[in-house]
Amino acid sequence: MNDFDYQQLDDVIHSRIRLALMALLISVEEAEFNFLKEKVNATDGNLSVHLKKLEEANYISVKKEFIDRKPKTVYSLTKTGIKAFELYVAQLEKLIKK
Amino acid sequence: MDDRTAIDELVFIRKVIEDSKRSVAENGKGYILWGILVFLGLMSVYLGYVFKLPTNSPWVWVVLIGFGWIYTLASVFSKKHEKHVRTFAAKILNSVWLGTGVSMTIIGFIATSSGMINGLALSPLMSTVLGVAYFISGTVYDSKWVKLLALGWWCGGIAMFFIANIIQILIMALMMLGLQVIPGFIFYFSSKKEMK
Amino acid sequence: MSENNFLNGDSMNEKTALEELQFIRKIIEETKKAVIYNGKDYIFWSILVMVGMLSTYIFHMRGVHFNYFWIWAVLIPIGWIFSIYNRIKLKEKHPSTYSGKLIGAVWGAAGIAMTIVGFIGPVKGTINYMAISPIACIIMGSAYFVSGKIVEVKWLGNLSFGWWIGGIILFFVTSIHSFLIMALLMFFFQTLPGIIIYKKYKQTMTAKA
Repeated sequence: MNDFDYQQLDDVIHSRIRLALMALLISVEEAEFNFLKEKVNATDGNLSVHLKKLEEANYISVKKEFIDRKPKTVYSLTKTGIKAFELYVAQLEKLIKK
Repeated sequence: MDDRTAIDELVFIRKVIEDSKRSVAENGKGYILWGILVFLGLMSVYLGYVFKLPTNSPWVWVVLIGFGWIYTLASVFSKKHEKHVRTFAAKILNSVWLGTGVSMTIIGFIATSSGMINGLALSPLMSTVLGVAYFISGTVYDSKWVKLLALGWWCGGIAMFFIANIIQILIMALMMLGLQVIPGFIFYFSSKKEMK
Repeated sequence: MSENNFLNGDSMNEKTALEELQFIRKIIEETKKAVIYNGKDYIFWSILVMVGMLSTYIFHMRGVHFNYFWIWAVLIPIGWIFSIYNRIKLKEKHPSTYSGKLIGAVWGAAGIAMTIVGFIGPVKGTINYMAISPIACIIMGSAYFVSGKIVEVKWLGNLSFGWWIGGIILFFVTSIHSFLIMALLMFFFQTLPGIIIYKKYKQTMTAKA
């Protein structure tokens, strides 16, 4: 790989499922757990682990609300998350242009 | 990671985004419903006037517009039970059409009852207001043909300001079909196709 | 691509990769919702309309009668020229954003609609001159309602109710005082918000510098 340091890529995003989650959330304003689950085709447990990791990095924010008396967990990107995603894409571009 | 993987990564991101956008694409049902309701209202006025039928009554509008609002609000509430996902574009489009609906209802019911607006000013005014909604929608969708519909509504509105007879109602009804119902069907079929 | 299998990416060449990048950047930009706006159009237009309304009111009250349409025939083109100039200047200073483009579309479209109603509506007498102000209020209501949602500023969106209620009241005011009421609406729901937006813009620019 030429002189590009792949370690510059954000570890939090650089996983197939977490990248999918970030890309999903960048295209919508907010999305509920079940929507994300269906889109990334992951199990509840697996998805929760990845979402937790993104939340810990402050890339996503979590909101719990009751819709029709049922609890729903809604996720959205934070400003830090948008910046991180933008940087990730910029790193990919750098890599392509090498 | 080599550059081939980086490219694949970009393709992947784009696919995820496109897939997500498809899930919340406009289904056109609102356009079709409101287009048909207003078309029916206008035809009832036109046919009532030409054939001296009792259909030329404000109550026809009360029923049609009332039905439109009830259906729209009911579908907004029923969507709350569905899988929750909200996009910025959808939020803006909702506010555009809600704002337009409020404006048209004020002009159609309150302005006419005040006597400040006569019946023949109604169609060109509605057409001009609809042009605003279509222009903003076209910008949200980033779609030239939707923006062209706005131009159609504005040109139609200008023309109708000069046609002070019953033909104006017929023109407005035809515009409703051509610039609202048909685009609604285009949205509907393209969203069906996207979902497949 | 089927609904759930985007976890398998396809390969592509470098040229297409740049197109992908462009697409992704556009989406990121849409998410940011940043609007850099100086509020100058708000202030300028409101002053123009207030000048038009108050001069019509004063001329009428003092018994100076002429075709007041000419006041507007001078003021409105000035407003359009200023708006276009301000947009060009802002574009030179700041990169255009998705939300900025939407705000431009909202006010551009509202301006076109009000110009059609004010200038073409009365030509054949389809629109009564007294009806222009309340109709403009209703269109302004819509524009503020949508603007509030775009920039996600509640108070800006809530101004729409002021415009809509003002419009409803004006539909029932058939005297010359209608012009005075419209001038007041302009001051409270357009000039003052414009000044607030301008102050915020100045603060942002100072912070950036």
